[in-house]
Parts: sequence; C-alpha cells; structure tokens
Amino acid sequence: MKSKKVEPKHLLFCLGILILVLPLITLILDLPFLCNTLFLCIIYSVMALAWNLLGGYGGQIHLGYCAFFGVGAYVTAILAVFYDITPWVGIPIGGAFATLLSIPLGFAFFKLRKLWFAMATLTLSTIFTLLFQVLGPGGSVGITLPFSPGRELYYMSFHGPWVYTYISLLVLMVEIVVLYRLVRGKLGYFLLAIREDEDAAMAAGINVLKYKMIAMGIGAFIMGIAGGIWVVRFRFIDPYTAFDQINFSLYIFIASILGGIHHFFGPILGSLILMPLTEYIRVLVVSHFPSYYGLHIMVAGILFLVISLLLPSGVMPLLEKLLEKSFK
Amino acid sequence: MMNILSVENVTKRFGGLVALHNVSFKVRKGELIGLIGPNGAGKTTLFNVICGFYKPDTGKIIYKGRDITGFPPYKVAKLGVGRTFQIVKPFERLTVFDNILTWALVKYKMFQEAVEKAKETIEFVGLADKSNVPAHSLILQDKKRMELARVLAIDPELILLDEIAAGLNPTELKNTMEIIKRIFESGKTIIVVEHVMRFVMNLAERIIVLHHGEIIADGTRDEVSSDPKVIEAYLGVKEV
Repeated sequence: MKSKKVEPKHLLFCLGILILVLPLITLILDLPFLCNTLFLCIIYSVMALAWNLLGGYGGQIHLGYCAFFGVGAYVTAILAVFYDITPWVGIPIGGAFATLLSIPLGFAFFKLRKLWFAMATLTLSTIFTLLFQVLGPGGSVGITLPFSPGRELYYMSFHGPWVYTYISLLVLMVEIVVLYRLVRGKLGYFLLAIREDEDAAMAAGINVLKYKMIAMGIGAFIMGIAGGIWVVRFRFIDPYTAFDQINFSLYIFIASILGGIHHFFGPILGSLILMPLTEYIRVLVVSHFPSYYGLHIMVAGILFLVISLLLPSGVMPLLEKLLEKSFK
Repeated sequence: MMNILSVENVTKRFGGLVALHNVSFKVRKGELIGLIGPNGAGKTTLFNVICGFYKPDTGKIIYKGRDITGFPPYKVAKLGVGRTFQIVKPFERLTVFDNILTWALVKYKMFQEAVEKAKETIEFVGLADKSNVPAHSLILQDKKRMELARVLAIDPELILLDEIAAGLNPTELKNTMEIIKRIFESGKTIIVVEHVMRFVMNLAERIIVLHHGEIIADGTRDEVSSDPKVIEAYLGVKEV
C-alpha cells in the first residue's frame, strides 16, 4: 500500500484555506477580537512586505513609511468627503499620491547611507503630523467619512471588519504575485547588489539612486493603499493616527525583522506573530489594568531588542529548519 | 579614434593634499599598461577619477572621444569601462554565480542571455565548480577571480585592474596572470595598477610611473626600470 506523504505544500494549502475562511468564521461565530486582529494581521502583512522591498532587499532601513500611509489615508478621505469620489477609486489614487511624494523624499534622503538614512527618515512622522495638523483639512480634529445609508457600497462602509479583511487579502495576494516576480528578476538582483555593496553596484553600471527610488516608489504605493483601506475601515482619520510613528513606521519594520528580513515571506510571518501578540496584550491591559496602557508597545520594543541581539535573521530560518525536520 | 582613453591635465586635491597633479597620458586601443608607483602615489585615486568615483578639480577624461569627466560611476561603467577594487568588494551574501549574474544583467537585458553570459564568464575564470558557494566563504584568490569575472560580464572595452595581484602566492599569481593574458588576447585594453613588480613587468610592455601624484616616467619596461628618477622614487626596484 502506497503511503501518502504530507509535504510542506499541503500544509501551506491548509493554512491558505484557513486564512480564507477565518474572517467568515469570525462573523458567524461573533468573535470581534479575532476578527479585528485578523484584519490587522493582513493589513500589516501588506505593509511589511512593501517595506521589505527597500528594507530587506535594498538594505535601506526607512523608518518613515508612515508618511506614505498617512498621505494615502488622507487622499482617500479628502476625495470621499470633499469630492464625493468613491474610495474604490480614491484608494488607488491615494497610492499614486504616496508614490509622487516618494520622489522628492528620495532625492532628499537617499544621499545618506545606513544609520544616517534611518535617523533622517525617523523625522518624517513628526514633520507630517505637524504639517497636517496645521494645514490639513479638519486640522487636529481630522476627517470623518460620511454616513450615508443606501450608499454603503459606494463609500465602502461595511458592517464588520471581515469585509475589509477580504479586501486586504485580495491586495495581499496581488502584492505577493507582483513582488515575487519583481524580486526574482533584474530589480531583485540590483537591490541585493545595492544592499551588499553600493560602490561595487555602481561599478557594475547600476544606477543606485534610480533603483532605490523604484523600490521605495513601489513600497509607497502599497502603503498609500493600506492607508486608504485603514480609513474606510475605521471611517476616520486625523494627523496623529495617519502619521503614527509606532504603528505605521516602526511596527512594519519590527514585523519584517521578526519574521526574517532576508526572506520574501518573512514580513508576513512577522506580522502574523506581532499583531496577535500586541493586540492581545493591548486588549488585556485596557480591560484589566487601564493605567498601564502602552504595555503592548513596550513588549514590541523588547521583542525588537531580543530579535536584534539574539536572532537577527528572524524567525523564518527557525521555521524552515523545523519544517525540514518534520518532513524528513 | 585610436586613443581609447585620454587623461588630460588631471589634478585632484583632498583639502590641502594634492593627490594628483597635472596627470596626462593617452592609451591606445589594445594596449596593456602597467601603472606603478610607491604607496600613496595616487594610483587608486587616478582610477577613481577615471571611473567617476571622484571628480577632478581640473582636467578632463576623454573616453572614446567623449568627455566623461564628472560622469557618475554607473554611467562610465555602462559606456564600457570596467574596474576591480584594491580591496575586493564581493556581494558577500550572494552566490558566486549570482554575483556575476547581477553584473551581466546590467548589459544583457534578457534574463536568459545574462544567465548564459554569467555561465560563460564563470567558466572562463575557472570558478564554475564554486557557482553556488556564497561569496563570503571564498579564499582571497577566488574572490579576486570573481571580481575579474564580474568585470568581464559587462563586456567592457577598457579594464582597470587595481592591485589584482596583492596578497597572492606565486602559484596564484601565475594563474591570475594567465587569465589576464587571455583577457588581453581577446582584444581588451587593460591598465594594471600593481606593486608586485614581477607581475607587472612580465605582463605590460608600457609602464607609467606615478610618484606623489605626478607622472615621472612613461615608457617601455626597459626604459622605465633604468630611469634614475624611478629608481630614486622606489629606492630599489626589484630586478625582473
């Protein structure tokens, strides 16, 4: 009798089915915490994967991706509220605006290398928060998306987070397919060259600035889209949420490192670990020790320290070894 | 254009230090030139200026009749100037093959063509058996051979080799010299910066001597090795 061997791809398939079905299950069984956490897992996977194109492949640690997120969010909100343009169209436009923004930012920051680049990009959160506080429509108060009964689909106003999870899943899948092909091709090799040795890359004939800009431009577009999805999910945006450094600059960086910065799926793995962990702690703290709010952020920070010092290549290599052993 | 390269009155200063002073020479297509001089003479600086890593304070670099002074390094490389580095710069975490393939992808737009070129080049330098080895684990000689392979992958017309022989034992030196001779025979123009006299005197017919940023001699190896100024600068040029 021929025994059927369980292979990694079967496991992946089951995981895929699970993720596809889970949002619906949370709806049917009325599990709001799991529903929201799942949404965060997916949207952060989208963002972390985008960040890693410039971060893990290009070797440039950009700590200001929140600028692109926030711009995408604001553009989507402004188009919906002031121009009555449906977010189905507004979200990609938000992405486009984010990419446009990445061009001057690239010229400004890419002449810096390594540590100085990271430090300089860290300022973007504060700069944009202040900018939108003073000049943004709604100022500090922000913008709320309209509540229009009968036009819910138009304004992407759905009853539970689970629909947004499916939308994000769709974005994630397209993103995976597109990015995977890109990193296996010329762009991937050139980014790796830039990461490993910029001077040698130049000597090869690679226009280092151009390829850094491309990687960041793509990342910015996706961040903008994520921002747009965030806005339609939470129906509200203000300068502090939009350009939140911890949530949209640092978490995606930590998730990528946690999962494995040098692996294509590392950022996704990292998001799937980081989001449930921080959300669980946050909700626990809020419901039982409200005066300790922020503990979840501290845990994320400690996790980052531990990974940097003890496991710099992230969790992915461990997982790979584990799978190898299990399927021997 | 018989002159593939013309360096004209190049001066390069770093603050108060004059690294290159009024350097001029012409290179004909198909020449193999040795560029020698004591440490600190300005040899690597000259390479950096030619390739665009530094901009000269005065003077011009003319490549194939075109003024390329101040062009960024990637542009100079794309025009057909390949260089290796004094301290090797491998893409450490990539395999040997991927190192070469990356360079080939600059010249060969079609992925498959680039792969073919990389395969061909890795054979040429004799690293085919180490294709899938990560570059950081190679011994020095192999890293240098990989540098050569990478340069060849972009099909340069002019190749600048910066101390390719440094740190090699006699056997490795012989191997490297063989490869460079084969490269030269395939029609490339080569300028070799070297300290190892045996290496450069055996290889090059024309020698340019740099000292304190100035050219003090430019002629055949016999002329140069008997030039009193050169002997003085070196205080004991090794007999060939």
